[in-house]
Amino acid sequence: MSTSMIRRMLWLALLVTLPVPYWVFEGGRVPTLWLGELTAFVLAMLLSEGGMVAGFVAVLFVGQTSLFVGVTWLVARYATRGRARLRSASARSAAALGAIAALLGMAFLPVYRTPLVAGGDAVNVLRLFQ
Amino acid sequence: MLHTGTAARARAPALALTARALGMALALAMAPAATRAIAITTVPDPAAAVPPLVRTEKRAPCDHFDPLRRPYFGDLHVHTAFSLDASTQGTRNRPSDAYRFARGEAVGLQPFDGNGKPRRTLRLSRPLDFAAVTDRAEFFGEFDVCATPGLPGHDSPTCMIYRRWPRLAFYRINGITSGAPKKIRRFDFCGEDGKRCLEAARTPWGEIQDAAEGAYDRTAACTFTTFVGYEWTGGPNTDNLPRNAIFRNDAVPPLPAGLCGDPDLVAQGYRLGVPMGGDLRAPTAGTATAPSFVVRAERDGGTPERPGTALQRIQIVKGWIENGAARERVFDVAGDARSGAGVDPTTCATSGPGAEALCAVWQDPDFDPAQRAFYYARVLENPTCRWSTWICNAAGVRCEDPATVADGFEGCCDASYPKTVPERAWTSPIWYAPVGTKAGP
Repeated sequence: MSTSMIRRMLWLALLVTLPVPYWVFEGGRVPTLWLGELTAFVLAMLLSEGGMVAGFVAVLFVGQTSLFVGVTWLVARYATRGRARLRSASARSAAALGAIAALLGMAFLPVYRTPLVAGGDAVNVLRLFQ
Repeated sequence: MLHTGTAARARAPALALTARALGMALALAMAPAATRAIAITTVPDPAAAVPPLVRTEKRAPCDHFDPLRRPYFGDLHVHTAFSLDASTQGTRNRPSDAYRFARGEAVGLQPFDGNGKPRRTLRLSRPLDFAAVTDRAEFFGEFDVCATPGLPGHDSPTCMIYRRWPRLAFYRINGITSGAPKKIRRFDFCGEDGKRCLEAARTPWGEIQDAAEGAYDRTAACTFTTFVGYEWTGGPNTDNLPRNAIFRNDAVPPLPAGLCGDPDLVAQGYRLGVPMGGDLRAPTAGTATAPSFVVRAERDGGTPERPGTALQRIQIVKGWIENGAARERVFDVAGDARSGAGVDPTTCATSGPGAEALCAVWQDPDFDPAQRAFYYARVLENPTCRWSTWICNAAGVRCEDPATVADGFEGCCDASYPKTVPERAWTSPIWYAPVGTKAGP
């Protein structure tokens, strides 16, 4: 696999699984993809209904989603660069796939928490998106 | 599901009278707000006869009536799934469940498992004697639309957020109620003038009434009493606390929208209130609460050729004498002065939003029961061309081209004459006078 392909796969895995902190009146730890989903709904609400509160909420969601999209991209980029220090191609592939598998495995653990889902209980990523 | 109990508070209805001026219909009225309090006397006075009980409903007299009175315990501030606060935090109990709970039955509480079974239950150790469900009335219709598949608006983004992330909807909707400057803004999915949601509000409001009637013991045993009620939460710029309206019997308005939503507003005004031009006396019971004013205005329909202009706002003007000098203060009580409505003076074409009707219930924040004062209402339309602008335009005057300014039309280009004007209507004042003083001007 090419380096760019590995980087994109790792970035996607980070977007879907890496818990990042956020705050919209209340705080939590959620994947960036989940923040993106709420951002889309809030923007739709803002466009259809308007209002100062909706605008404020939208700004919070857009800002934090954008921030973590960038942060996860940088993490994926530096991780793939670090992977290049490994000498053999098989070791590089194994390291990349191992990292992605670890992230995907974490998705099944109750490490995500937001007051907006399950009353704030820790849940896995599937429950988060239900 | 339950809030803390509060003492009952009743208010004399505020009233209205209509008049027409400048094509706009106005209603303005006021009435002293009276409060009831619980009093404890130390020495019964046989001469102080208990006022005769006036029953306002059909029911059997209680078989344990005690002329010396008995204490009863109840809760007049109860929320169910119809309230924003409760439903967005997972409450599924409805008004009938609340009354079951008040009567001593167990009810299930959130969180619920995958089969909808509550993980907690709660029961009162001592059942109550009376209760009133007082759900937040502002958004009855919105919640019914959001919760009922198939209704127009059910698939709006706001409703999707309400169903999937209700806690997020809590912030969104609370922001509207606590920040509303004059009037609760209806969501766009409610359609024109919010009609869709106002119609949908009849469903939960009806269920609240049915639940109250179902739990009310009208037999001579008198084991449990219910009241139909609602909470009004909207507070201009968070200035107000929520208030509960408790009805004394089952004769309630078709919608819990306050006096402005009462179809009998005008009739109530004539029957019970002080109309425009009338004198208002201070309450005699020592209550210093400011009187309530109701003012309502409707847009002039105009003619097919020249339709009337939409309304911009209602103001109440207060006047009084202070240190021998006349003072005046103007309050915006409905509508929005910064709505963005405007007019192009070159064509007299109007633009921007405006209201077909405006209504408000208002209390003077600076009311002094010892101070004589007068109050009148003023209704402003959106800006339109001044009469002189119409004439100038009809004469083809263009100030940038002096050749178009004919003799006698020089004033068209005089900047001291306004090009536009907000047309207005106003009422006769209501005169307030403290007890022992002369009312009127």
